[in-house]
Amino acid sequence: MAFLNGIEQIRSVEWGATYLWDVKFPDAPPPFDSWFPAVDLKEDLAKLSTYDFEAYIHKFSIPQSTSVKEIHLTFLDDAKQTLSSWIDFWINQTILNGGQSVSSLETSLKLIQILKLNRQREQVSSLAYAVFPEGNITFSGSSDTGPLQYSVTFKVAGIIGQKRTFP
Amino acid sequence: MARPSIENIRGLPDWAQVIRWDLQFSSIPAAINANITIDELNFRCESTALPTATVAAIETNIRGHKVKSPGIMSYGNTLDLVFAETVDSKIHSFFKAWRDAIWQVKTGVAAAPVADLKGSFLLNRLNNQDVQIWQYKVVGAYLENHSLPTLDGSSNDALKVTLTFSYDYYEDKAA
Repeated sequence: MAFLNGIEQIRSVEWGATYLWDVKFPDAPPPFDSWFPAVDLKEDLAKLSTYDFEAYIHKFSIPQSTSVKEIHLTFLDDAKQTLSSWIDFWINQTILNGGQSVSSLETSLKLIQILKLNRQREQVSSLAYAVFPEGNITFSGSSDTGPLQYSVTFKVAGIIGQKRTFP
Repeated sequence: MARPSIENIRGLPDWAQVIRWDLQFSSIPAAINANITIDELNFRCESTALPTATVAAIETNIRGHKVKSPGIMSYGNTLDLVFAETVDSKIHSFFKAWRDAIWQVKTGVAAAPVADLKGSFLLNRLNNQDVQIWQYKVVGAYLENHSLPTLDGSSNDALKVTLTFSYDYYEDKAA
């Protein structure tokens, strides 16, 4: 007898969907402190590196370590460039002090809250990370009609709050 | 359950008729300096589509068994209204004012922030006594496109302008 016996088993599950999430930066400038105009999110939930070795005619991998999680966020900005200015200030002033020095990790961090939702837009899980931006924030101008959009990678320095349901 | 009898059909309320409706711009955007009233637009509107919404499907396809779940609902986002033009060119003045407010000829300057370039309007369906029975409220509307007829030397028809409005969403309810 097979494990999956028919369509009714599949019908009995409420499947997840890619759009059921939400993000907030409580420190972002208004009006984006209460909600954040993110359109795409990639969030490392767990990372595991392996140690690979060979013995005789076999190759083996065993769990070895973990590494810094990353959050990739694509968001829209308003006509005042509120968010790009905010992240620009975060990198160039808060962290780099106008190019004079590099701030401590504690000073460089901001909080990001990520929720996973069900179809009733109720919270299924909640994670709060302390993050700092990595890499560039780049303005991409064009001559077409389109929204003003930025992509930023954030490095996770710590998980502040965690509420996940398992199983 | 039996097939409906003629008395079942006769017992239904009056049929809703496609001629019984009106258009009411609840707000013409502040930046639109058009010399036309809400009633003048209503009187010239010959036909209109009604707003719709579509629910995208999430397909779960597992080894030959496909189950669909409701995903994101998207509104139609455009609506075509056909207006009959009068010799005072009220409709032309109306869409020109809206078009110019969005994108000034030659310079591309907008007359106002987006919020002042968008309006909302109501489409009311009426019963046979011309009492409102259903209302569509179209929110965040702006003039996205307009199409004009070909002028010729043989038609007797009035000049009709199709205005395509983009909108953010709509709400509908029984009156």
